[in-house]
Order: sequence, then structure tokens, then C-alpha cells
Amino acid sequence: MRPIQRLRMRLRALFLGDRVERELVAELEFHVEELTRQKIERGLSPEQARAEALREFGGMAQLQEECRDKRRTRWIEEFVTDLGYAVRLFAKSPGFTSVALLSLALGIGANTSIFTLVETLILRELPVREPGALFQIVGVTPGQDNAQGSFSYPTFQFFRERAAMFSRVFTWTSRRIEAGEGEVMEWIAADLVSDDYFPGLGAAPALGRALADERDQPFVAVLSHGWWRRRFDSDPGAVGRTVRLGGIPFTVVGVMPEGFFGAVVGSSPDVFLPIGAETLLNPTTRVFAQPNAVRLPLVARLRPGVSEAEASAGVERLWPSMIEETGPRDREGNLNESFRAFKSRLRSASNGVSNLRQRFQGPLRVLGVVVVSVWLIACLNLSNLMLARAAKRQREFALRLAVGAGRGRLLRQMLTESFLLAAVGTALGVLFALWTSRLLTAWLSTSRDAISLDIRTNSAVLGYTAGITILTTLLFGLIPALRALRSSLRPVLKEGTHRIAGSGAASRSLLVVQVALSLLLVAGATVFLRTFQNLLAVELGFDPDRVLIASVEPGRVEWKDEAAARFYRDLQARLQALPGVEAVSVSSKTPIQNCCWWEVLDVQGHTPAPGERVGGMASPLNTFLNSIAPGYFRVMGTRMLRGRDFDERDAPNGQRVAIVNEAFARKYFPNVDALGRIISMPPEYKVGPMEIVAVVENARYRDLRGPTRLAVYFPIAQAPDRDTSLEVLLRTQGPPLALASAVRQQVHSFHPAMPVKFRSLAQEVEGVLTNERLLALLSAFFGVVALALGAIGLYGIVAYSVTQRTGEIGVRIALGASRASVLWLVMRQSVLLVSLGLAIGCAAVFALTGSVDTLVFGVQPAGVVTLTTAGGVLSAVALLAAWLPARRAAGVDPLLALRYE
Amino acid sequence: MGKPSDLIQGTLDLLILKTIALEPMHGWRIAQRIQQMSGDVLQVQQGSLYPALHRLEQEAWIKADWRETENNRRAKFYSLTVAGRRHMEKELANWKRLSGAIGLVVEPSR
Repeated sequence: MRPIQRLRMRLRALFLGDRVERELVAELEFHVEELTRQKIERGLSPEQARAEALREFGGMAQLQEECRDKRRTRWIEEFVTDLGYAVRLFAKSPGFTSVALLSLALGIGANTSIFTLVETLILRELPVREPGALFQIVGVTPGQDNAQGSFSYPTFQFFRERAAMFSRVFTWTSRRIEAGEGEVMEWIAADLVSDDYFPGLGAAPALGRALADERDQPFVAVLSHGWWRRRFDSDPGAVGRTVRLGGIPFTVVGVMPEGFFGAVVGSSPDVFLPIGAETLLNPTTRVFAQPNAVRLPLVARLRPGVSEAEASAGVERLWPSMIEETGPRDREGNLNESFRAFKSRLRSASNGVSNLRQRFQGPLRVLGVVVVSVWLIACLNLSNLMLARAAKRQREFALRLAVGAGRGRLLRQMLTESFLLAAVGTALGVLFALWTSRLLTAWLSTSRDAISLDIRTNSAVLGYTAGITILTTLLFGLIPALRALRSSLRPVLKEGTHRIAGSGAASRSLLVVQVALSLLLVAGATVFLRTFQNLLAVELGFDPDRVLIASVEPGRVEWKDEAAARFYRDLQARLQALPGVEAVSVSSKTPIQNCCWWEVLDVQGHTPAPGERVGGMASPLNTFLNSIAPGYFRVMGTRMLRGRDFDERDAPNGQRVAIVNEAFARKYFPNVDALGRIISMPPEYKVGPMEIVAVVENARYRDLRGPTRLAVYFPIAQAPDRDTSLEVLLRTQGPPLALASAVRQQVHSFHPAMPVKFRSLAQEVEGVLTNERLLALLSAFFGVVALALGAIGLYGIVAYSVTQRTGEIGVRIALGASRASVLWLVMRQSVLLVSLGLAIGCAAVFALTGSVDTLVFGVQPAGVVTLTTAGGVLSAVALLAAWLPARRAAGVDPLLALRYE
Repeated sequence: MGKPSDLIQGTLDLLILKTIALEPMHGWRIAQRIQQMSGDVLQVQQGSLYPALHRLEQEAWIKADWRETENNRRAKFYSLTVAGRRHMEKELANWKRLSGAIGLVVEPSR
């Protein structure tokens, strides 16, 4: 009861204020009347009695005030008053307000969005039971950052059978497969998972059962919630139905709950199949039993009661025999050297497994530094603006203190103003963050490699933002407020506005820090913009403009090998006839995004070094392979240096031939002509030796940095590893994607339900530059923001000091000072401060340069060019910002200035 | 118009609560009653009385309503709430303990 009554009293005081006031007056008036009555009874005349009663009663207003104080709602009422006052004040200076709000929105918004991304990608735990017990087994090379997280199936079996400290060891592999048949076919993402996958992850299905021991019965599927909703319209009867995947009927046995995406952060598989289905879906696959096919991640769940240290020690004990028994070997039986050098490590997988994490860690770290710097600059800037305002309002405060306002009360009012700014700024910042987080995810996704992240501003992110806001409020609200109140009153009141001790040392040091941070950001922008530029200028070895890539999947059931070959031949002929098409070809791989097929080839006359020939891994010694149709090099714009292109002579039963790139020719045939030489595939492919018929120029296959790789091309008709899923390549006259519908029409004239996906080669190349583009764009954006904020800050300080010194400047001019000397007088300080800031900034750049080494290309982060560019731009902007008010000072009319004094 | 020096705050609260525990009354009557019952020793100034009443009301120890006085005039009458009565009893016990203790110190011989 009591809390309710108390609340009722507060609410009454807040919302029925008038009535409460009237009642208070009536109550006190009653008392006075009773007092008067008493005095009349004692014999005084009514007038006398009333006068005496009033005198005795004392200050009515003061008593009312004391009673009001007891209501405990005073602070709310005052807060509302202060808020109204603050709104009016801010509305009166729209320039200050918009700069302040913009700084805050950018500072807080940028921090929130980057932190949201960090939280989603790195920190958030998997939505499974006891995610803390999950660990990934990886191999690390001592002294190197990146870890080997992929192993062969035999390695997986080794750990599953031998690692007693884990209750479960599981693995999975992802692939795209076509789903459905007839009219409705689509590409979906499938995770092929080992038996222990679901119990190991600790995930239970929402419907039906998860996968268990499916070694004998691999034709079962578990659906993701999203695909169940899309494909089966959330029908609970889907369990037990049959769905055709890759042309094979699978029985649906379960549906996973919403939000479950497996173990890989950033992926969103549509179905989960037993790993045994891999051989069914792709008969040529070599995942199993092949120690060289290292592509499976290993994740394990700790046995209850086993500590992480014990498990780690256990893995370390097993490690040497694992390498000995299951490590990748060449044909002579030598272990791969880099694999042998790996040391074991357990990595927590409570937040999932992600290659995105490794890929974006560097950029995210840099962006973190950038956004924190921007936030600091924004706060410094705000602090400076508030300092200047507080100095301007010193007289107002002095006056209010003099008429009896409490210091605490004034402090509270200033805090209210800061709070209002921070609140509105935060609201804007959160809006900004929501928008940019989505933008960031879109930017990180490439055409091939869609990233699906469940971006949501959750409590941690909100807490982070709120924390920043409180810090911001304190930082820029309290310091100026304290400063304004600490100064003594009398001189202020006596001397008027223009002689106030300025916001001197504090704002000057703030400015130095701001310049230093700005230099850091501008230098970062320079470095990342130039990295991006340099990468764009890299010689690709092909011309990515005007190339359309169409992924066509003929499916396995209706299209046997010869039929598929005929299909591609006919399709190529029809597409060639389309208007706007210059050349058409077909290949199994495309550069950059749909790469790579690595092997080590036997070269007649070349004896390999021990351990050199380990296929499957992207080692620099391995050769990039591709099966191509005639005309591939014409479509790609890759120059043929010697020899001939493939043609109809290179039939399945004809002489086996190959085309090699310059790097391959130079490595294996340094002194002789490569044409006519014989090379052959590893014996497990069971194809005969091939004669080299041409040498083509080097091209980039996977990334734009690093050394040029070796490459060998086969005629598609003789492809040693037949893959029915091929890419159709078209060199177009106009924008490539404009031809998409015409191409689709042609494909559908063969098979109306065949799924076709389009992308342009230019998109693919851009995709590999995601990080660089992101860093370049964001660092440039924030560099400009930093410059703008810095310029505004400097302009504000100089303009303020000019206003303060108008009298002094007037006297100087009157005494004969030249305009130039006045200009210098005003600028001198700015030049000094900016130089100091630049020096500190340079030191910071030097200190941070090591952490961005892997992110830059062709630029020295702390090089002369970077620092002079950044320093030059910054000085130019800063001096302009100082020069504008200085020029005004030099133009002061001494007569006016002195009269003003 | 400060508080009378002989009335520390907690004591005034107790006096008010005890006074209106008998029957609801308005501020003027409370002051009169306290003065009268203390044999004119305790004079409660309005400067202390009304803020105290408002504070007690905010604390929900007492509640107020407007009623007619015996002279047919409307006045704000205060009465104890249930929580207020409990609070008063606690305060009373405290007071007895405290005054007894002070008595022991001040006049140890008795």
C-alpha cells in the first residue's frame, strides 16, 4: 500500500501541480485565519489581529517553498524547466547545435555499428547447449598468425576414435546443391555433417529428429528453419516428405529451430545432410580416405569434468601420431613439410567457427581504432565548443550566482544541457548505426560469397552506446561547467563580457590532441586509399570488363557426360549468335571467386624435391588447374604467347593436350621451349600424359597480392576431373549483365527449369577487394569527418580569441602595426598548436604502423609520402580555418575597436 | 524562522504522529494540541510544522483530506495511515529507549 500511495503523491504533485498549489495556499491561509481569530478573541480589532497574525506567520512564500521541497518531485520539475531552457538555447544557436549533434551522431553511430559487427562476428555465443565446452582443433606454425583449421577425413577419424578427453568430435563440409525437380529448381546451401555434429554442437531439432548414425542410410535430410519456411511454408507435415537434392531423393527427418545456423558464423545452410551423402552427390569427390584432401574443420565438445588444459595436453600428446598416421604425403610417401611443422592448439569455439573472423579481424581492428579516434575527436570538439559557450555565458552564470542560485543547481542545469545533446545525439547515432551496420554487411558480402549475419542491436551493443554517451556527457558537460563555476565572480561582473579569462590552456591542449588524432585518421585514409588504388592497378592478366559469367547446372540425372558436352557445345553456338556477344567459352573454374583446383603435376625431366608434391593444398608450389573450352583466352582477354588454342581436334579420345602459363613454363622449362613437352596429372586421375600446345601470359587466379601462381589448362572435352557444373563465359559489347535475360532464354530453350545464375567478372574482382574497399571508403569518410571537425574546432577557438582581443588588436593597429603582423599575431598560436599536434600524430602513426602491415599494398604506412600527404592536407585545412578569423582581425577598424573597448 | 532548537526533527515527527493518532486534525489544531499538552513548553512554529506535515504525507505515514471544522470551515485534516501507525510505534519504542538511556547518563544516581 505504502509505495502505491507514495507514487500517487508524486504523480499528483507532478500532474495536478495547480491543484496541489491551491490546496497549499488554502491550508496556510486557514492557519492564518485561525491565528487571527485567536487574536480577535484576545481583544484585538480584526484589522490589527490580521496584521499581527501575518507578521507572526512570517514569509508565506518561503514556507510554501519549503513545503514544495518536501514533495521530492522538485528535481523532475526543475529538470523539465531546464530541458525547456536548454531546447530554447540550442534552438537559438543552430550552428553550434548542428555541429554538436553531427559530431555525436557520427562518433556514437560509428562506434555502435562497428561494435555491433564485432559482437555479431566475434563475441556472440552460438545458440546451442553449453557453447563454452566447444573447441576447435587447429594447427599453428610457431611465429605465425594464421592457423591451419582444415584437416583430412582420416585426421577427423583419428581424433574421433582416439581423443578420450572429448565427448564428441565432429566435422562438416559445405557445398551448393540444386534442390527440387521439374519446374521448381533452386540452388541451396547444404552442410554435410558427421554423425556427431548435432549432439556435439548441442543442438536439438524443433521438429522430428536430428541426424544420428546414418552410415547405412545417408538419404535423410534435416532442414533449416528458414528453408522449411520458404520451401514448405512452415508445414509441420514436411517431416517424412521427400525432397530431391542434387537429383537424389532425400527423406526429411527433422527441422532445426529458428536462429540455428550450424557452427559457422556468417553462413546460413538450408539443409543438413549426412556426410556420407558427399560421395553420392559427387561421385568423383575425394574427401574420404584421402589424406591430401585437407578441407574439414575439427570441432570437439569437452567431456564433462575435463578441463581445457587437460584437453589441450591430450591433443598435444596425440598430435605427433596424428601427423605420422594421417598427414598429407606425396607419392613417395614423404610428409608435407609445412604440415609437419604445425603445433597443436585448442581454440574456443563457443562463438562458432568462422573464416570471416580471420578475414575481417585486421580491418575490424583498424576500424575500431578509427571509430574510437573519431569519437574522441567528436568529444574534444564538443568539449571545445562547450568551453567557448561556457566562457560566453560566464556573465550569465555570475549574475545568477549573485542573485542566489546554488552552484549545484547551475551545474545541474549545464549537465541537463549536455544530457539533452547526448540523448538526441545518441538517438541520431543509433539510427545512423542501424543503417550503417546493414550497409557494412552488404559491403562485406561478395557476389559469390553471400554473408548472412544476424545483425541486431542487442543489449550489449546498447550498453556500449549508453556507456559512450554517459562518458561523452561527463567529458564535455562537466569540465566546462566546473570551469565556468570555479572562476571568481566579481571581476566578471565588474568588467563585462570581453575580458573573461578565456578557455585558454584547456582548449589549446584539446586542440593539440585533436590535430594529432586527425593526422592519424588522415594518414590512415591516405594509406588505405592508396592500397586500394594500387590493387586496382595490379596487372590481372585478363580483362574483367564486359565479361558475363553464367553458372549453369545441367543436373546429374538427365545429363550424362556426353549429353552434357553436347549441351555446352550447342549452347555455346547459340549464345555466339546472340547480338552483343563477342565471344563465348566455357570453363570449370573462373578466376578469383570460383577458384581453386590445385594439384602437383608430373613434368617429364623434372625431379621433385621431397615433400614438394602434395596436392589439394594451396601451396605456392602447386599448380592451378582449369578445364576450358576453345575461345576461353579470347573471352578473358589473356594473351597467348606461343602455340595454339584448343579446338575440335582435342576430342576425348584424341591426343591429350594442355596449355600452361608463363610461370609454369619458366619454372619447369627455364632454358628450353615448353611447347611439345610432356606433363601428366597425378596417377589417381587415371589420365594419360599431356602435350603442351601453348603458353599463355600469367593471370591472377585467387588474390591480387603475392607471387604469380603456376597454371595449367585442359580442353574441357578431355577434362580429367569431370564436373558437370560449368561456367559459361561471354565477352559482351555492352554492360555484361544486360545480356542476362537473353542468355537465360537460350538456356531455358534447352531445359525450362534449369537454374542459371549471373555475375560479372568485374564484380568478382571487386569482391576480392572487399576489405580494401571497405577500409578505403570508411577511412576516407572518417578522415574527411576528422578534418571537418578539426577545422571547425580551430576556427571556433581562433574566432573566439579574435573577439576577445579585438580591443588589443585595435590598439596595435592604431599604433601602426601592419595587417601582416596582426595576421601573424593571431595565426602564430594556431601554427604552433597545429605543429605540435602534427608531431604527436606522426609519433602515433609510427607506433601503429606495425599493426596494419598485412592490410596495405604498395604503400609504407609511416612513409614519407604518407606523412607528408596527410600532414600537408591537415595543415592546409587547419591554416585555412585559422586564417579566416585572422583575416577578420587584421581588418579590424581601430576606431570601432577602441570605441567598443 | 528556523526550527525551535529544542525540537529535533525526529521528535517533531513523533509528536505529530502521536497527536493525530487520537483523531484526524488540521495543522492549526495540531500545533495547539502539542503546545497545550506539553504545558506550553513545546511551541511548534508553522515554519517547521507544515514542511513536516508535507514530508510525512509524501512518505505516506499520514494522509490528508478536506473536511468541515466545528465552525463549518473547510480545512485540511491529517490522519494516520496503517503504515504510519506502525512507524509511530517503532519511533515511540526508539524514543523510549533513547530517553531512558539519556536519563541513565544524565542522572546516573537514580
